[in-house]
Amino acid sequence: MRVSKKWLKKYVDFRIGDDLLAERLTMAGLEVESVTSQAANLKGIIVGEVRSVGIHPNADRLSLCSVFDGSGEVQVVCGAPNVESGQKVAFAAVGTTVPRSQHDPDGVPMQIGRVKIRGVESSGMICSGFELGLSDDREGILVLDSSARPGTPLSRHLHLDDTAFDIGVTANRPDLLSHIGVAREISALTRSPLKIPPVHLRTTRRGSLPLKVQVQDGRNCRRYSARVVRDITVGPSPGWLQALLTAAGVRPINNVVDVTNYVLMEIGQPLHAFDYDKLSGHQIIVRGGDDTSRFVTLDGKERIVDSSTLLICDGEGPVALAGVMGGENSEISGSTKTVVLESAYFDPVSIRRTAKRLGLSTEASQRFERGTDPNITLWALNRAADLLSQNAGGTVQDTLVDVYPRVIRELRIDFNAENSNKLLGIKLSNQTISGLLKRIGIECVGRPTRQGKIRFRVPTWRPDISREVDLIEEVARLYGYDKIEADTKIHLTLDVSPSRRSIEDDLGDYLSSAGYQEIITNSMLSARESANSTGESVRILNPISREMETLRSDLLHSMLTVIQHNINNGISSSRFYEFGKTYRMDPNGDPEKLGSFHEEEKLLIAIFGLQEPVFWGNRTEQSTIFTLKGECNALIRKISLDNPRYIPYSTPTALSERSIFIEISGERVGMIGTVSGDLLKIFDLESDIHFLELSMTRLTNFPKEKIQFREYPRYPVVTRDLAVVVDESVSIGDLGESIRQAAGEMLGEMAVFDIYRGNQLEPGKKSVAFSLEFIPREKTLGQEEIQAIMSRIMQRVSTTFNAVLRQ
Amino acid sequence: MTPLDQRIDDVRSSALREISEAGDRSALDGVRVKYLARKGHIAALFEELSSVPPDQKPAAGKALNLLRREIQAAFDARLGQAAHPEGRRIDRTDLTLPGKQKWVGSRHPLTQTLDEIRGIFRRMGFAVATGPEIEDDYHNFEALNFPPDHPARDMQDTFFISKNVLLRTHTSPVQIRVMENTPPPVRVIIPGRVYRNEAISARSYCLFHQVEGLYVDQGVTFRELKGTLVSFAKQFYGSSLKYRFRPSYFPFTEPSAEMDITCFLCGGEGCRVCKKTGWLEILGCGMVDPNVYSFVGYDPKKVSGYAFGMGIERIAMLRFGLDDIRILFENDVRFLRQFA
Repeated sequence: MRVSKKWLKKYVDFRIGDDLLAERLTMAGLEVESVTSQAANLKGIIVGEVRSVGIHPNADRLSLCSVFDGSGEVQVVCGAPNVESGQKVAFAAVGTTVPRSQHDPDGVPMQIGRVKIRGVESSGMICSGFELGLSDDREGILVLDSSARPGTPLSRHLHLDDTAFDIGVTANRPDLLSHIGVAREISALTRSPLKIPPVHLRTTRRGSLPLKVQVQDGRNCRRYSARVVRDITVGPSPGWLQALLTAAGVRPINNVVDVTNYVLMEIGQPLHAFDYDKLSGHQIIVRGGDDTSRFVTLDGKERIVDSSTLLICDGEGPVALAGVMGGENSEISGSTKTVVLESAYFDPVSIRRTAKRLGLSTEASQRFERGTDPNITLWALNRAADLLSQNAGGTVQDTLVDVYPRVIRELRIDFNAENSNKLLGIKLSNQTISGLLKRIGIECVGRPTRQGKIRFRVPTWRPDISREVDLIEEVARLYGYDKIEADTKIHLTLDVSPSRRSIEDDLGDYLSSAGYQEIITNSMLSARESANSTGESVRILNPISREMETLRSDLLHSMLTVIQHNINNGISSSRFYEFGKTYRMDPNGDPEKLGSFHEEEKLLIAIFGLQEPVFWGNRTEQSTIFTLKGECNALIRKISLDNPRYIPYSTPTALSERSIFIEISGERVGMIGTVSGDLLKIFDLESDIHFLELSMTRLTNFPKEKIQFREYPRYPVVTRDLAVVVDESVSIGDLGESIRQAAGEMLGEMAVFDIYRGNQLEPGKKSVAFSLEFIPREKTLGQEEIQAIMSRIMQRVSTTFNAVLRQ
Repeated sequence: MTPLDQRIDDVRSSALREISEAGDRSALDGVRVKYLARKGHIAALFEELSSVPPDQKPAAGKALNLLRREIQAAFDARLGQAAHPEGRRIDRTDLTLPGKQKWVGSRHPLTQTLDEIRGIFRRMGFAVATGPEIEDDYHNFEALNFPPDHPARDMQDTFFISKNVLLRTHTSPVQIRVMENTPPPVRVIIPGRVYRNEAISARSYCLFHQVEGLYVDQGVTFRELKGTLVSFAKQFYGSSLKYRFRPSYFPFTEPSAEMDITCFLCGGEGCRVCKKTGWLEILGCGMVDPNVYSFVGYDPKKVSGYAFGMGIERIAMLRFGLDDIRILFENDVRFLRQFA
């Protein structure tokens, strides 16, 4: 809501500076987003006279103008189609700043420099209405009336000496969508009285024109007031009215429309003016739409009306969408002689539904859907009629229509100061509270009860106040939030449930220390990217774009987007991880039920390029799937779970070329894989990318193994190497498992440190070298005991795998 | 460089390295046999001299002789050291060589910001709760006192999955879920991802992260809400911070407030970031609206409480001086590395 300072001063006499006013309004809950002084905004911009217009030698669409600035002539290149010799224009000389740049979407200020445009020097700029912040017209320059004197500051010529305050009005305060509403707050803040101008309407009985009003839908139209004003002459509004509207951000149109807008901005009551002669049967019927039909609103667009739409109709059909927008068929035109002014109270929900359904939000609908004051319709109606008679030569008929079968009365709310003090943590007396509320028109009625309760009467312009707690908020607001001292000494109920560090924190800390970089990505993807094998992907009804119309079913696609971005930016090695959710819907699940949707917390790690940074001491290896298989052991160990079991799976899937499934205690918790060629192709990637995915949801469900000290044997550990030759087909995992079984409980760590194939072996054979660590239980191990174990191992592997000891 | 020259260089560097690495006399002798003996590497290179073109022979011969003298000298010197093990051994390692590097990872700046916020509230006795991102209208709006067809719903542009199911627009539905499942007192913070159907720009993204706080107990006051948030802000932003609370509107709190702190970029003078106001809005808060208690079965006559919420992206952007929210979701390594 943009309010004009001059306009506000009509209702309250305040004498504080603009900045202080802005601050006090903000602290009262009327957040002032910007303060704009018209004169300051147009500083340095003057009236100029176009003395000549020539052709730019190098550009067809540009003209070469000579502009007289009151003291001399300067050459200016101008791109506007409407520039003509002899015009008085708004001229910005070199060094001044125009409020908005025509070429910037946000319209940021632009400083004028001396520039060459297509090879011709230009010293200054002839401004458009948009650039000056006076209108949205970007098409041509602003042409001033011919009486303007070159050299005069533009703000003085246009009488632009007002200040505008842009206030972010919260959704609960319809009363603040008007100057009187804001003035009421200023009055409360500055303790200057609020003056609402009385309306002295002169009416006539002569030659009465008939008007019949019938409200059929009394639930959605609670009050309908109307008047007829005849003999008007449609034309421009007087300067003072135009200036106030302009300052408040409303574009002047003609005296009839301007008057209705003026009253709207003054007290917040939306009014509508119909052309009386276009109303068939000179009657108005307020009713719901009967059937789906079409109707053209005065913005020239065809709207579909249905049975839920509240309509204003004449004898034939709709003439307006009630509370939203009038129709083209009853619009005021230059030849309108008689108008019907409508001032009504419509049900907020009905208006909101229509505005939402049609995607049509207007100044009127915004106020009706928040709740207007049903008891100001007559004031507003008479005010507008009076202004029409003064500014459009109209004669006001004395017949007044006011259909208001059930009066909406002011609410009375019981208030207990004790409750208020308890909630806020302060001590205010009944008297102080009554005094505060009185400033905004909330009056105490009767005397306090024996229990100390007082009763307040809430004016109908405050539909947001219906309970004691709503009044408590007003008390706090008017008392001042800042006067309520912060209390850092608190009473606290201590937690008695076991504290647990989340495994996500444990894993995240580990991964970051191990050189992995955490990423956070968008969880909305295209339908193709979230195609799902385990259920239906979750589809958004109103997505921003096709690229984001579903929720992801895996983390890999967003990860690859990140990898692609980095590879395209010259990064050749990286390791990333992300904690994120994946989403799916039960096949044939009911989309209206929350139970049909499932979210799973996952961890995805992906690596590509070198295993570690290059080093002069040895050659650096590329990352492989085994890098991640090793990392997986460390991760699981980090969160104290059972050893994982790995199940290799060489059949390619849509996502991976080869996979290793990870099981813990018999349950699958994730997989390790190498990104499939198809997927790499989609992302236009060439390097091998390996990934490890773990379901955090499942890992969290396992009971964490408690760390429990076990006595360990204090004898020296003995290490032995063992190299065996086996057929190429033998799986090394199985071989290792067999060794572990044969070795018995003394075997500690076991590692594979070499695999050899070559001319020292028979074809089709490989040699696998293990390093075995033995931890003696009872006494120091002697040569013989070790030898016995080693023979046992050899015996087992030669039987099972036909293995031969490599000499 | 001819192939032979290359080989000479290779032999020189490996011989010198092995000589310097040989730990004892026998190891050193092994190196001598390998390079200097009659069938050693240097002798082998001399044999190749016959296949070198005649015009290059003198130069090649000279280089080979130089190699032999050099290796012999290094061997002699090392042998001298080995002969006197108690003598100080001269270490010829070039210590200016770079060390073996590791990849350095880090948590995402948003996680770092959240961790810090979470840590502060944990020390103030808040537990952590979470909830689903796919929500129903009841938890996201209705139970939070957003009546159907109320303009307050316009405050949050919503992505819908169906008529009744949507992507949560704030973490506040988790307040409802926590209260539905726990009798008072509750004292939790709720971090999580939320969605808004807004055009993507430098200032807004289609999703972001919030931390929500909720405390309901007997006798909780607005003063205490202020105290808790002032304590948080001073721990997070520094104890000299200036702040203000101003009235605002959220359907699920009454009274409602927004908390501003002095712009730490301009010190309150007014700059682009604080839109010339000198103040930065950091969070929204208020006393839980009694209507919310009715939805979750709490008795509004017996308990009172407060709730607050803040956007992690906004706080991270202010803290790290970012002016485009999209950079947080692009995950460019050159950006992420700055937070290691």
